[in-house]
Amino acid sequence: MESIDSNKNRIFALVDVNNFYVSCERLFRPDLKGKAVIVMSNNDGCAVSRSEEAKALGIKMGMPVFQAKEILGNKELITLSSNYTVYGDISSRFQEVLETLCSDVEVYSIDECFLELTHMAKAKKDLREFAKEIKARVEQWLGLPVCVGIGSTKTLAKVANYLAKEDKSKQGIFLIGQDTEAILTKVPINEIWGIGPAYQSLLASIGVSNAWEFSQLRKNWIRKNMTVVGLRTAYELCGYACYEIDDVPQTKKEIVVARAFGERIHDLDSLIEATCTYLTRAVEKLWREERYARTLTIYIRTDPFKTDEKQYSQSVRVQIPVATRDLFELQNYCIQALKQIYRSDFLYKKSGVMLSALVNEDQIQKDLFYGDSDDRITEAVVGINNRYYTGKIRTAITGFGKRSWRMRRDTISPYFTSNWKDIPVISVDHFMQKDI
Amino acid sequence: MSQAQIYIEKSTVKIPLLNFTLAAGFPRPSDDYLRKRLDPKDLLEINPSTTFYMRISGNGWSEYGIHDGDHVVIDRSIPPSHGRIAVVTYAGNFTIRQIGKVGDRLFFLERDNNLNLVPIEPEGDVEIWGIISFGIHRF
Repeated sequence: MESIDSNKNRIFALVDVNNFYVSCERLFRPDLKGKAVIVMSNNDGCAVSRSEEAKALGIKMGMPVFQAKEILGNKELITLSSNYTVYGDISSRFQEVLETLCSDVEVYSIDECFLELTHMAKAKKDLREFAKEIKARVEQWLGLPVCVGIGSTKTLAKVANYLAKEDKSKQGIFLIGQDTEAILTKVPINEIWGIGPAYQSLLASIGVSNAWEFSQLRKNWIRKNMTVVGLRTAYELCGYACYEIDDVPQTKKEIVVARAFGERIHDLDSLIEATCTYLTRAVEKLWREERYARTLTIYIRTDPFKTDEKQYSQSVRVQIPVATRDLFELQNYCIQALKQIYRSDFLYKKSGVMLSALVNEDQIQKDLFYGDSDDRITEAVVGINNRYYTGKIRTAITGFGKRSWRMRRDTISPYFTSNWKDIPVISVDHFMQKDI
Repeated sequence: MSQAQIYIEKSTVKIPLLNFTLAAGFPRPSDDYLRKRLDPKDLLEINPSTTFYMRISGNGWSEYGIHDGDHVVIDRSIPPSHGRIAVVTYAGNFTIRQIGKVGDRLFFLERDNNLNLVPIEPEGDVEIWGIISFGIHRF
């Protein structure tokens, strides 16, 4: 029984930044305060982050931008292209600031971190006060508004975080203590971590609609119908921790860079230009992770939304003789693969690159007839691009012309924290004028 | 989606004669004394997670050593206190104020009317964005 006991009396927190992308933009753009702002998905398609003001005007998550503009009529809406360079930097700062308060931090997504607070609970520290401290510190140090949910398992912490957001009177902090029944009865089943639409309708068919009812189901039934994952979720709702803080981030099994083109493309040269550009991004990631790839997959497709047109999609997998991270070697395979699957009678909307079967340096299987690949040029390319900006130096095949396939990001904000030319400007002239 | 498998041969195959390097000679004794070179970041970024950079436009604060075209280092983890110079937001822009303390309360020192004290309020027109920790001036 010792193992069960050790899973009891644990305390976890989930800290989550409200409207993360919009909050990052607002940090460097005080003019956005109090305004309806949305950040758009790649190619400026849909709303992926909304300010409270935009939510209040009825703009929904994932809503196409043209529709959002229609709803608003002549009310002002600021639409920004997504700037993942800035969001990524602020996300790491967010994690670092949380680490100043707690040693067990797990980055769960770009805007959410789990913290384990068991030791604080044991030391009889006031958890609500601690949650306030977290909130105040992230807001003051990084200017980001956050919600903190606390519970005895990660699943309960996530529920608490949902409630902290839903109930404005809680001021962004919610603790689930002993009396879980009253709380979980109010939580719809689809808000539970790990319960997707399929399980939701299965549960609805037996009359289960909220988290409490689910947690009270017979465990055998859950095991049988919802696998061990569903069972863990049920135990977690009952307060038995089944998930630990992953303090070591999982190394990736694959690296994918796939993007829709700004304008559809027809010719093979442009397809090669775009896909080799994505390959360069993927190889940069490979270097960052200090890994080597054994498999390269290339895929291309037409636009599935143009239902009146002929559709085509094809992918090709290249088995690489010896795991590599040499851009030029991979680019060579990429071009040959594209030539093989390209058909001239289609308009292409998207292509993608996947590097998989990733290994560390010590796991490379060498080949007697295949010398060590020389990746020093790639190392230089990756190094220069990391130091300046991505695309500063690139292979000629990725094009110098119009590059109409490039992602549409018409209203992208400056790289506030990664380019000296882009840092915010403090204007102190008006003071002089007043003085005179 | 069907998966076509292709195997691509390299046009040339390099066969290494010796696939390792031989170490010869005596290791340089100075390697033991290698130190990392000085990095100004160590001076300027007391708390790197909360450090930001901005550029100054205008000469309104030159008597405080902050000149047009300078860069300023802002550390948001520094609490506001008497005499500190802060980047603030005002009417949708960034600008600068000095902070003063009278009794237990912090004020902005407005210099346009010979030291006017403006209380610092949480949701006021002027809000503290961060405290300036260093100025970088090009001579």
